[in-house]
Amino acid sequence: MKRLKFPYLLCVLVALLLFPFFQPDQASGEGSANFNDTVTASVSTVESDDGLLEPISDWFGSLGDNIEVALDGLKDTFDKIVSYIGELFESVEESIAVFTGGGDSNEEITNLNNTIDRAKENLGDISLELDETTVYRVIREDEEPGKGIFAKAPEREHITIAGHVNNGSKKNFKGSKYISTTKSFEVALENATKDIMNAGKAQDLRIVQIDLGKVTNTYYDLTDPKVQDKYLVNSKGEPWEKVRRYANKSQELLVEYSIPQEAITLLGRPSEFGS
Amino acid sequence: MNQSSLMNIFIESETALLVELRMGKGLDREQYETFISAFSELAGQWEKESSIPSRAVQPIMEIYADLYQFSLNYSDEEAERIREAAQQINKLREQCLSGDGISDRHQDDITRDLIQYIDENNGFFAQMEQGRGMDEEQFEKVFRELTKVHDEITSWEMIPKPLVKILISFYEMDLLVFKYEEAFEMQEEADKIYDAYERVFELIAG
Repeated sequence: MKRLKFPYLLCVLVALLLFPFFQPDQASGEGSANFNDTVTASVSTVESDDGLLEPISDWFGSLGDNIEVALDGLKDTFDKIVSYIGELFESVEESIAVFTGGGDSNEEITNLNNTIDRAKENLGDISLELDETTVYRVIREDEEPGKGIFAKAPEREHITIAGHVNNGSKKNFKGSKYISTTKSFEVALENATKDIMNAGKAQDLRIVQIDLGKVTNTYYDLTDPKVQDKYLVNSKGEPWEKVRRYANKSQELLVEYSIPQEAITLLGRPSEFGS
Repeated sequence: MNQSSLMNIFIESETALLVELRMGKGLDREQYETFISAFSELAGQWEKESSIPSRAVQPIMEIYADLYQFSLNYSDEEAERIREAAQQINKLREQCLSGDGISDRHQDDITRDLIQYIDENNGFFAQMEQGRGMDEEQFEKVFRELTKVHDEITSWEMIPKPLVKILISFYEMDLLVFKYEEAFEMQEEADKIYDAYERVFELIAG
């Protein structure tokens, strides 16, 4: 009997601790129009604890009269967030299992592609609202985000933005003063789990989130048509369609020289997301 | 189908093909077939001409080297498929650029020195192909001349075939880097060629 009491006490204690978190997000209820905002917060929860606590603290400020309606809406949203993260992590965990499995490489690649596709579906269902000040980067093992991120070859001033984009995915590219980032978490996730420069080999690299508001150097959003008109042009000064498509597909944003540590939040490796 | 429509298909399918390869999605057979079909027809039309439309030059210049480069990012079987596609495209390109060149007197005047400088010392590119390294002095001379005539060249609606072949050779210096690194095991020379390639790339590509 004594043994049984402990779990019950623990449950009660956990329920008490969690109670404040089940407060209404918006007192006006959960219309679908508000759903995207909440989802943006859910991405932050993947990224850091601060991201979770910020929206929660906001909930207190917006406490309204109709607690029941708001609570239902909040629970619904919270369930969706948990479900989304759960599905995403499950997919990633499966992909890691694929990495370490003994199947032939084609099968592994197929499985990995399926996993990535499922993760994409999960992201698609949520219809992520892009945060214009946040970008992502998959970092190499030798990079230390706690010290900042630095361009591979800052001395190679002559490399143009178009040159960086065109040649950046070639084996013999020697780098440039630009640091590649992506506006898309989906692209970052795919690059973190699949080495597209090595036969799509499974990998588990760290993803960092970068707050552009804290980036001190110049950056170039290569998906912006005005930036494309200025920098993604061929030698005749005409639109270089191929390179523009490369940039659009990768949702590429380049930062010059370095990114300070203050701007960087380490999200971790895909295999760690579920833990 | 008229040449303009064919060219649109040619450029669009080339871009789509390369975008998918860059994203790690492999060779898109449908885009490849579309590209080959459009290019075959265009190559047939241009075979007897002395020049080709300038709009087609960039895709023709970059397709083989880009395909080859991307093949290195794939596993054996897929890499082989991509290289076969590259070879097939190269055959069409040779067909398209066959025949002699410059019939326009003004174009001949503009490009004469460039062609002459490249042909000196048994040929700038031929020497590199044979593993004799890059003649830096010759490169500087050629590069200066290329820089001098570049604006004029890019204003032409039609580009003479010999000049297209030269631009291809410059763009494909990138591939010589691998040859020097792996086949000739001459890293220093490979680095020199790569640096030269980057300078030319900025001028002729973007």
